[in-house]
Amino acid sequence: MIRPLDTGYRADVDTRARSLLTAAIVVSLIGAAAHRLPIQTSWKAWMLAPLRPALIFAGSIRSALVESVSGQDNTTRSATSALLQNSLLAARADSLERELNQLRSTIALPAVMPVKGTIATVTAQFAGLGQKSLLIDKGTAVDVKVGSIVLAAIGDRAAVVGRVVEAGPTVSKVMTVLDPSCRVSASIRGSSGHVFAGAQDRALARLEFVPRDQEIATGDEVLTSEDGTIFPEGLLLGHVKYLGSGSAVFHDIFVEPAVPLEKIRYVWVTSPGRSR
Amino acid sequence: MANMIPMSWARIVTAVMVAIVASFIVEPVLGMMLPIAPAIPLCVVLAVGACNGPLFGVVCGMLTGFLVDLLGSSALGVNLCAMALVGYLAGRLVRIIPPWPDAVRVVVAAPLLFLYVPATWLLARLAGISAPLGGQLSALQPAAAFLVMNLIAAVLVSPFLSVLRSRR
Repeated sequence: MIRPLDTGYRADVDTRARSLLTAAIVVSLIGAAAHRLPIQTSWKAWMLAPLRPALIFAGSIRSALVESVSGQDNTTRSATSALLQNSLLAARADSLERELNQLRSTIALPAVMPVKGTIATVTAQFAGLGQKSLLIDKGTAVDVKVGSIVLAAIGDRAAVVGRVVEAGPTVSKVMTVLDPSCRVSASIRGSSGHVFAGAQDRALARLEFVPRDQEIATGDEVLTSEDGTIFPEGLLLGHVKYLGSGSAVFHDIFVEPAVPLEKIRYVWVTSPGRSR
Repeated sequence: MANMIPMSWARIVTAVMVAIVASFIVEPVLGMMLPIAPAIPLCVVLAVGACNGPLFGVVCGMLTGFLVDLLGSSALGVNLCAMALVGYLAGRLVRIIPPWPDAVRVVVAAPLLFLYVPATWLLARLAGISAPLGGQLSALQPAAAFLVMNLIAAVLVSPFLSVLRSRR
């Protein structure tokens, strides 16, 4: 039996539609105000927890489709885990070497690279509608927290995927570095103080506040910098794809992320933030 | 005026769920092949509104937007309100156009897709999120690509929604 919502042109139908639209506006204003509060909640991830099997099923179909379009990806979970651990250990060795050199001249302690973590499978991704986020199949049950950083191995390098913004018991949501609202402290050619900003246009991010007088070339590596508060320094963010016209003061730099987010299957989730 | 065949609550939920799952699975693949992947849930909201009236449009928009907000990383209400607005206006538009086929109605209503861009931008700014889709607003070419891709997707989904409307 079909129960009609809108059977024609009755006046009360329009009234109901207007009332619902008003309710939607009110909800959005409340949601916006709540989002501005300085609290972190994971209620959305908790609500998604019962849907985990369905998300994993849909995610496997998506992975198969992506692989069929972009070529077979033979990486296994254990191989990815070993690759990630190796790349992180190599990055840590680099970081400790830099630390040693810095300690010679200053007493300030630089960042320590987190190596302990867990490997997670990407179950879903949302790359549209003004947001670029991933869902992973690990949550608070294995010590994944809000703020945990998410990495991937690109060759022998550790590259940034994003950070956990909501953590449910078995599902967590990751805001990727391509999300329009994502900002990461970045360095290029050894100079820091720049901002890696999420994608405003297609799949390219931007590197902001790079002075015009600094020499930049296509293919330059963009790394996380030592002045950030979330990611350890030295992690790969991407490569310079091309230079725009820019302003009189700053370059207009478009960066291709190091991690192909649409193809990624496994990620490494480490403890939140960086220790000093 | 057109004699519209009513849709049921269950069919609205079905259409929304299928749209969300399709966006889940298909959008990353389309994103690799096209300059901008169409936002399938938004297209479904537009098509439902344009073919069924404002109440359908606003209910479908609210439900779809809520799910997109739930699954995404933005504040609750950004997509909910923006999609409800698109669905409502698409439904209002259907009152002033002749009883054309569904696909034609969707094409006529397609410019309303553009409202989604400033609506989400404004709501995200209110929530303190820095300008999603701001780049698409500022650059004409991606904005045009956004409209064209979603228009094509909306026309393609309209026959499926017609089946949902007409089958007993």
